[in-house]
Amino acid sequence: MSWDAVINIFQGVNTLIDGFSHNPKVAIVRIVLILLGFLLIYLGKKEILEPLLMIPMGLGMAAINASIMYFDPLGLHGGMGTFFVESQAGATIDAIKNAADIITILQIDWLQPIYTFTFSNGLIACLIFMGIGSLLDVGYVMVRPYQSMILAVFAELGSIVTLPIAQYFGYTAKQAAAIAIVGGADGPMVLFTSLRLAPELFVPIAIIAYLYLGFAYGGYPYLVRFMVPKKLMAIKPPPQKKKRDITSGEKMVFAVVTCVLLCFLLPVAAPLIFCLFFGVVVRESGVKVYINLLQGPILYLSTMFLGMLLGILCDANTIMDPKVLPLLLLGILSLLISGIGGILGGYLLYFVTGGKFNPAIGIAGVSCVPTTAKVAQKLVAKANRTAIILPEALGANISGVITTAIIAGIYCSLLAK
Amino acid sequence: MNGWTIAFFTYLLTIIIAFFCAGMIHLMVIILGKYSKKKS
Repeated sequence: MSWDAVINIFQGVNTLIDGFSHNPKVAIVRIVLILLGFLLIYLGKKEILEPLLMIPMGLGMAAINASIMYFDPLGLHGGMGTFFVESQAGATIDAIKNAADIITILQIDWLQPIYTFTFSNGLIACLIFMGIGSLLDVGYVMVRPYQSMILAVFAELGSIVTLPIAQYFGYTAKQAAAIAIVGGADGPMVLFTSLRLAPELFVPIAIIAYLYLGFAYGGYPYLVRFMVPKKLMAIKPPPQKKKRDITSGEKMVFAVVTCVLLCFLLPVAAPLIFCLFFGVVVRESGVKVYINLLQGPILYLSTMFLGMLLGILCDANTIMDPKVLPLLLLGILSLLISGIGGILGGYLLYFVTGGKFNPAIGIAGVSCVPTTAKVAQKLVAKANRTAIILPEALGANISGVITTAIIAGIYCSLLAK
Repeated sequence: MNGWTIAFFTYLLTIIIAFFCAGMIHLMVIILGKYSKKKS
């Protein structure tokens, strides 16, 4: 047996050695991504980043970059590939070739059925939205609709301002809008919008959006601490005038009417709007089996596969794409502007209420449900143990989901042809 | 349309729709509150 035959058994090692002699940059990035995968798992385990996403994503990222071998049935990656998933299958303009490519890959790559039938058509985003909807208590918005909407509208600044900025980097209006929506900090909405407006950038935008959403969990507290002095962070919300409790029937009426109205106004975003409010309606209907199904298996199975697929899509070739580098910058800029906008909205309410409103709640206008609301509560509780701002923060959070859906709908209606 | 125009137009429309929704929620809470009072 020749030495070549022996080394061919260990193709992961062989492709890496080959990479160092032919394309050292890709080989180095492969190693960096394996290490980054380990880091994400560690940070997820320590709960510094969101563990539900980061653990499957980190393992996927490390495994995909380790398992590259000499395999490229569609001839897309210079003879190298994996048995996991082929995101480029069916990406040519020839419909017949696309169908043949997809059928070929569906029979080979084990995660391809999940990618093709749930990820690349937005189904997984819709399923996650159903799960999120089933966790949302819309009563928080119904008690204080104007206050919640003000914060949410301010916290959309990133989704707006990033569009023209992205155009300066050479992206088309459609691509720029798909990138800008990262500022809404709403993962499923980002997937949905990029599929509609810039399918060619879908994979890098999805990876970057979710990576940053994980980092938002760890990064936003620094932004809030930087912009809100401790004295203001300790402000306790004034006691609410005794209002009657909102019944589940009323919440259901609200969800049905808002769903139909938003679908009527923005049919392009109707699948996501429907799924979100379907979750809310199920929650308020009290049908236990459906509630358990949405809050448990559907939400967690979708999140797990989403995280795993995002990690697996992070192979060295995708990350090395020259289009990805500006995306890294624009994604973080968009989230940063949205965070700043949210806190500015908090300051506006602080001045309007004569100093009774805690400006730190503004960060919850960024619709990363319920992460940013939890971030706000944690920070405020550190400054003043007796201050409970979670109801206000969750109201802003839920309104943020609605405003992001509105912006996604407007972008898709204006730009998609 | 250039980028800034799209962005400005989108933001304006978002504000209008968002506050329309907020107003509708407010109205709904009032109407449902009166209805539930009548019922009780």
